[in-house]
Amino acid sequence: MVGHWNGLKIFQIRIKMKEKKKSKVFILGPIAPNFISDSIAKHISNKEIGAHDIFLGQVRKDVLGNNIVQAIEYSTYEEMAEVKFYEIREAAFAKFEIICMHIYHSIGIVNAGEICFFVFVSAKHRNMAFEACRFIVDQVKVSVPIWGKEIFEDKNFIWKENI
Amino acid sequence: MDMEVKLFGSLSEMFGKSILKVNDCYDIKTLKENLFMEYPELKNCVFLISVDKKVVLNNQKLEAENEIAFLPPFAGG
Repeated sequence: MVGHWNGLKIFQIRIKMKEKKKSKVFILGPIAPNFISDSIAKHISNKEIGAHDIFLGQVRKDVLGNNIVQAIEYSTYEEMAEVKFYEIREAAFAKFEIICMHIYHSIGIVNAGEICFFVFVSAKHRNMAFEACRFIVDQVKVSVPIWGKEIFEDKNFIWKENI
Repeated sequence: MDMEVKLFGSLSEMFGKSILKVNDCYDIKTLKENLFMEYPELKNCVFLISVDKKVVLNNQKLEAENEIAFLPPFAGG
């Protein structure tokens, strides 16, 4: 009886963890360097991992004609983005021998020089980590509904488009 | 049949709203034709159409409960 109860409790905690994980991709504002180092530190307990690959996207101070980009304001279609992130995750695990992966993307304003995108892939060996990381980054760029308004120093803006 | 089309990014800015109300659109083709007639400026916009969070490239039937969205070019990452 006690065992059954414990089992149920663990099951409920697992469901909660899954739900929490699902909604954790988007971060309001820039991704702090401390958040990235904390993420690295969390992997210390997994001794199977032999290689991590990390991709960081940073907002560029582009010069477009006479305009200088000061920040990007990101927005999303969150319900569809969640489906896409899930599909990318499933595809990455099916395609590559990776141990774990995490994707974080900013929403709202991110100033030039700040981090807006963080992909963290861990595997036994480096090649799998490299390949999977590239795949995930490319997939996020082409298939996740995220929009970015490039705001210039004079507060005018244009809508950014991925090439 | 009353339906709603969700707008995002540059499209929601252009229309000044995030939802367009449409009716009597039984498939994607009619939906596009009706909206192009009502809002000719939409013809010059580049966007994908999603139905129930999946991008749809060909014509397909629409039901009242479908979640339709117009998606301008993505810029994530």
